[in-house]
Amino acid sequence: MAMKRILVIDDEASITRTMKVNLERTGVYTVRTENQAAHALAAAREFKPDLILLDVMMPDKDGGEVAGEIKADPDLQHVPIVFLTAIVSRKETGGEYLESGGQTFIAKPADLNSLIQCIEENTRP
Amino acid sequence: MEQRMITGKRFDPVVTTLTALLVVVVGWVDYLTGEELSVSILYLIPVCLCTWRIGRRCGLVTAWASAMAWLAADLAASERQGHPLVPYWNGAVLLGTFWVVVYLLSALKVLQTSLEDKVEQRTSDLRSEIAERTRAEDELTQVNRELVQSREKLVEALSDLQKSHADLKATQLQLIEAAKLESVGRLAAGMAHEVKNPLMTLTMVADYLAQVIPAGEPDAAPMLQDMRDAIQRANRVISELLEFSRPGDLTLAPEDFHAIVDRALSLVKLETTRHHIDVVRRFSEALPAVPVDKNKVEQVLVNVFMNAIQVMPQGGTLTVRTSVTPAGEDGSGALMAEIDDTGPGIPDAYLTKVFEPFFTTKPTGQGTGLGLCVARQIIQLHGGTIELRNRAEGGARVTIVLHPNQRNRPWQ
Repeated sequence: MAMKRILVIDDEASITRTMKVNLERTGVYTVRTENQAAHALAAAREFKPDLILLDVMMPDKDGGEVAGEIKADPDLQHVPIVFLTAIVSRKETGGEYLESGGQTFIAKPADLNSLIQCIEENTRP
Repeated sequence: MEQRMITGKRFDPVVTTLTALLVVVVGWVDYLTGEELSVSILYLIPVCLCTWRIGRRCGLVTAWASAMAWLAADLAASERQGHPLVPYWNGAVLLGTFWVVVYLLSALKVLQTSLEDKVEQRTSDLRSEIAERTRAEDELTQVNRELVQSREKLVEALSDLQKSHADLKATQLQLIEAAKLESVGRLAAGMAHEVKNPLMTLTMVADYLAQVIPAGEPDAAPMLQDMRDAIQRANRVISELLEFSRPGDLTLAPEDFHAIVDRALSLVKLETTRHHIDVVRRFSEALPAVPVDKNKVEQVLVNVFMNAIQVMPQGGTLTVRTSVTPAGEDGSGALMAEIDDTGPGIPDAYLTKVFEPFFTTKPTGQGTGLGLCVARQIIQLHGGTIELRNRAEGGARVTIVLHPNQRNRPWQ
């Protein structure tokens, strides 16, 4: 079975690094990380991910803008995007993650199981 | 007036004729009676009449005519034996006497006329004064009426002003509250970003360590659990702060309030059982249909129940009572829920602070001090009130009132 390709875009290097290690240790995912929002689109074009985990608040460009660029690309528009957000509480998401206006959000801090569950549900054929 | 009388401008033909007739009659009587009977005094009748009624000049003429009549009668009535000029002398004396009388009488008349004039003038003045006073009184009455009307308008305006002032004050308080919330919201969002990102890293590291630490390491599992608990605790504080600063919109719908209470009680059932707490429901049968956001109200109730449970660690009774308050201005009663515990109550000094953010009486790490604050915010969003006070028989009581017509929802 082909490994799922996950692109993690977050300005916090410690987050992308630890997520990459944990996800890749499962043996199910190939993970590429990107810490600069400005390079996110290029990284997505090059990596062709099955799912993108995208931070909402980044210093150079916010997650919504990056998502807009990705969705505007014909090759990437089908790729599901899960937003990682620090300013939505667990209570507000009502569980591990929240789907709102066609967007999926996952609240930080999320543990590995939540991440995997979210990735699986959003990459199901 | 005096001049008119003296110069005979008030000529009266009746009096003049009567005077002339009297002079003639008295002269004739004088002639007939002769020297034996003196009737000279009777000449004063026409003289006085003419002087009083017509004037001085006419009086003098009458006096002269009377003197002449007397002289004629005297000359005709007897034959003189004395000096021939005596009758003329007597006539002249009589004429002088008559003239004195005329002058005195006319002076009296002038005096009377003057007095009459003065009285008339004074009467006229008094009438004018009375008219003026009446007019002034009317004006005063009018002004008084206007004043009363003005006063009524002022009272009305004052009442409107007081109402506007109260409204403004309430709006100002709401604005201050909203501004405070906005700044707390900005602060909370910033803090959430800064704290939750490191927590994410820590969570990932904990997950990693859980996989890589050899299973034989005895302390690893509890230490990792401590780490996860610490992460959750920090996350809970930040999440509640976020929630406090961002009350959010309500999804209002008429709900069965008792069903919400039951659901909230079921959520804390584990805790009530663990602490041997009896739950007593005293539900009113006819609660008004109050539109509420059931999830938010459930959150409030869970918060209040958890506080009650935590103050009764050795057991006690948690009583939930619902009722309808007497009808208010809009004619409908409000829904009232009272939650009683049998704990130690709240120290009086803390009663005013329990709804303030970050105020807690719980041990460090067990309370964020935001639970009741968020609860109050949610109830206020519903246009209701929440109060906490000590019961006379011991323990504390939380009273929640929700109105069927929510007209005062500060953040909407």
